[in-house]
Amino acid sequence: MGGRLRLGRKRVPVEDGDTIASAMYRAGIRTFSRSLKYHRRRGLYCGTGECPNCLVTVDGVPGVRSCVTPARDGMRVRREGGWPSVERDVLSVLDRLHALLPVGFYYKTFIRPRWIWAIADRAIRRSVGLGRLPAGPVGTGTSRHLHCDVLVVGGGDSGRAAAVSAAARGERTVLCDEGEVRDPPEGVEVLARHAAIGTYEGPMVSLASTEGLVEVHPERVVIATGATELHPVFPGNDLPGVMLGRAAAGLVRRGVKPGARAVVVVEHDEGFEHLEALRSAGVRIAAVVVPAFLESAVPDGLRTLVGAAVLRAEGKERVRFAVLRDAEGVTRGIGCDVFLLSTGRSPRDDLLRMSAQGEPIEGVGDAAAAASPRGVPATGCVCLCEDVSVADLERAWDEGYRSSELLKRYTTVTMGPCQGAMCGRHLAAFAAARGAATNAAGRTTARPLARPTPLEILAAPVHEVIDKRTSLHDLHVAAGARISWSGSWLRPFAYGDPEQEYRAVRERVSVMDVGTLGKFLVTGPDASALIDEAFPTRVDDLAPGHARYLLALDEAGYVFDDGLLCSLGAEGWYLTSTSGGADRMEAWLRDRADRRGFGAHVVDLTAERGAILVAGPLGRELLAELTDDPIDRETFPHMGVREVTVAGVPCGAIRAGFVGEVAFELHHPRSRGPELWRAIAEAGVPLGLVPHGLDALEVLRLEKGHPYVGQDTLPDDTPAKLGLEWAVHRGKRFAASRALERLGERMPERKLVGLEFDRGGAELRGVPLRVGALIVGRVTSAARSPVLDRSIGLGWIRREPEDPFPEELRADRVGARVVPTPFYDPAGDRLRG
Amino acid sequence: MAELWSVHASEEACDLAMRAPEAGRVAPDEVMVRAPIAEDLRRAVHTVDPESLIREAGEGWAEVALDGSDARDVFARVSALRLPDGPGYVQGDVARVAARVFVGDEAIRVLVPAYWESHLRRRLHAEPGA
Amino acid sequence: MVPCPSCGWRQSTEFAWGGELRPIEAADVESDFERVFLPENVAGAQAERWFHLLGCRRWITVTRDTTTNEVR
Repeated sequence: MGGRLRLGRKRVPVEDGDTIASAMYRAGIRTFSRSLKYHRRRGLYCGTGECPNCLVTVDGVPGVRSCVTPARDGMRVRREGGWPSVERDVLSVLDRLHALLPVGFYYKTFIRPRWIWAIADRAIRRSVGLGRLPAGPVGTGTSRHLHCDVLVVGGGDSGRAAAVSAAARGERTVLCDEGEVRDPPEGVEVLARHAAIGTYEGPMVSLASTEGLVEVHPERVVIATGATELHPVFPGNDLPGVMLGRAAAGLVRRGVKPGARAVVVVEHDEGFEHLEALRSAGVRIAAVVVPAFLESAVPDGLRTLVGAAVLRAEGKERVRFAVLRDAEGVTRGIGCDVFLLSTGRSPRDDLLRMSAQGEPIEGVGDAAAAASPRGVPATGCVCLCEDVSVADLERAWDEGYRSSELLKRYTTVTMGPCQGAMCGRHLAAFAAARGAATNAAGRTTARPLARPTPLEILAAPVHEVIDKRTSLHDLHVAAGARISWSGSWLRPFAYGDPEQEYRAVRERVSVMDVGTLGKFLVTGPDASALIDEAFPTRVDDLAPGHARYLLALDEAGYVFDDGLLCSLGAEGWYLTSTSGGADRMEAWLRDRADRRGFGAHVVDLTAERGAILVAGPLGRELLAELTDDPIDRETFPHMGVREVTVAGVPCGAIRAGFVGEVAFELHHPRSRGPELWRAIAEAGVPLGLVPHGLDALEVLRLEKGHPYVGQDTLPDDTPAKLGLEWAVHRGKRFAASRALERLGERMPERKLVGLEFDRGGAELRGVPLRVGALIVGRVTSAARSPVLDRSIGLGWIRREPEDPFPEELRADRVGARVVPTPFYDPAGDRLRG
Repeated sequence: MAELWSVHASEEACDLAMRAPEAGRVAPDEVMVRAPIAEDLRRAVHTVDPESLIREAGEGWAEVALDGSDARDVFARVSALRLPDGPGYVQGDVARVAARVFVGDEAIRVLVPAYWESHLRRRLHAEPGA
Repeated sequence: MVPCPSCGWRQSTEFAWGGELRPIEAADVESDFERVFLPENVAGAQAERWFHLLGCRRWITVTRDTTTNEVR
């Protein structure tokens, strides 16, 4: 391969098999980063992608683990954490100010007076961190689902063996590893460079690669993630040159000599392999430190200190002395430039710990083995990622944070890129040694994500927000409508000037797409019983061909939706709900039918039917051009329901009154919507028809005082609070009748009322209503009424039930009064025309 | 879409309706049939449940067919549903909406309520190979 | 994961949660208040209503342990 990396102004040669870290190390780099808070020099440490020390920015992408990432010609690498540079970091002075900046200092200092925090916040943010974010998203990821019988996480020896035996048993097997898989086994789907970032119920395991996300749905999961090397805690343990055995071995494997002179601490068998690696690379071994039981395994001819304790590592820019206390109690400082520690293993068991009880997830190999014993940390850096020392933990404990979970949250220990892989067990040991109760001294809860993952990758399965559209959508677009979101629907808000559209409704005729309404057919032997039980509306006297206002109340008596109820005679009932309420309405109907055992069919027609509203004083004249069916006032009165064929399209027509003019809601087969709309638009040309959108509708319905459920109502509004007692049939048993009975005749202390303002319009919506300085309510809707030339609105007001409404209210600087509704055509003559 | 029927009936009558070709069991009391229902089967359903309702549902649903060798891969990019190895029916979350999926020999047919048609098509077209 | 009898075990994101299963009605007005506003809220197994919004669109009753989140 070959080639070069660009590291600032340096050109770093790359050899075959190099990782970014090995190439940098060979070129003489020893400081790879600066620590998060105190800007301490950090060198290559774990070599296996756990610790944060070697994180660099590559080609603008931060957080790259250079010790496990293959180097490629042309990569632009930048070390992070220092200013102006990692080598000469002005902010390293923070380490000397450590006493002034103890753990949690930002909770106690720089906060009074309050303006200091804004400055301190910016300064602190600039000086900490693991890199700079790119200016924008770095590509988008792909996502897919994968089904199989077995997922094995980890392609090492135990993982390969588990995958091979599963495949031999005929199980469809997937093997993944966050790095490369040596010797991929036959008959197994191998996903290399796919890191398992979380286990979820299902079971489901999420794998992240540089391309995107794979959500695996296996029948069972085998976790073979192995173990990290133990991270020993002592002063100076984070100096460059102090490293774990596997880091040194990894360098040697790539033909890089870790240093000239090494002190090696070995406390388990694996350490001897790393000792051998150093020797084979020509590193002089100044001393080997072993416990008594391993003395015999030390190769001949090496100075051995049996039973010595590590006191500290000393040095400024890198380690120069390993300071030990030998078995006789004598302190010895041994010169070295590599202080290698191979003291045990810490199972990588996060994925196991985060899975729920009873899920078919098991661990094999080192991941499921016991952790090597370790002492209680006394002094030194516990959490490399977050720069937390034992002293910080002690201080937090003294301040009263006395469990591993609290210590974690206060000091941020374990909250860095390694997520406690290096320090989680130290934290638990610390808490236990201090005397925390057993359930407060455990390892902190493991949760996804197990590895830092870019947001672009996590967002890969997320696409544009989901939109519902009627069959008239393209016609609205072609007409130049301003289309926007109304709940989960895309709807036209205006085609031009909303006031002109409004005037068309009041003075001539207009048309609107109301196909978004929830629509349901309820039929079957118990259909009437279901409607009667589910709603407060009177049902027994609603004859076929008639419609009635439908109020929907939950079991607490609260209004959750409204619509229309139409009797279809023997064919059952047709109901409509608000556009946003369709799901809830369907769920409510099905729940009542289920709980009460009603034999009824509930058929959702929301998608099947479009609906077009023709409204205005010339509406009947227009429709008469398009239909032979009788639609005169006597045959088809207000709140009537008739089958009418309009422009050859069979429609269920309802004469309803939301906008306050003669109006026909034409419910039709969805696919025939465009032809119906076009026919009406064409017939409307000589009548001055203009379509209207939601902006005009807002003013039209407000002039009639109609509340919008969700805009003018609060979640605990009862019929009485909305002035809708008339919509409740007293003297029948239904879902909410007991609740209403309990509320009784009491006047509610909060009520939705009509408002008139001295001036203003829609901008008053949401403004609190005051009497003097006291807030007594809120404006929920407001508009300037063109036809009435008044500023009107709806709002709720709270007062003692016995008291009258306050006389003089203020909405911001505008005077307001409570007035009766409807504002427009109170007698409803225009409606009934 | 053409030729889509919904059967709303008792559990026993629905069991009978499942004999229709390309039938999917939506719920104990509902069956969706993506083909014409023979007259004698209709009569049989009505006999078992005189209150049953068989109605055309095509207006309310939109169908997008995935065919070709990578149909299953494309599907796996938009849904976690496990498809049967052979012909069959599943229902659930596809592209984050409620879908009914008829798996045939030639194609995987995804049906969604018609107001989501443009969402589904857009989502599938965003995937390579669709 | 929630077990829908029509559709099989599905992720909870396919459902809307309907709360603790409560009696369908109460004998009088006072006990109705308790029925609606004061669920048992046990730390342990409780019967719950779930609506399969993205699937069969039917209600089911399951038992869930509120301390372990295990569903049956």
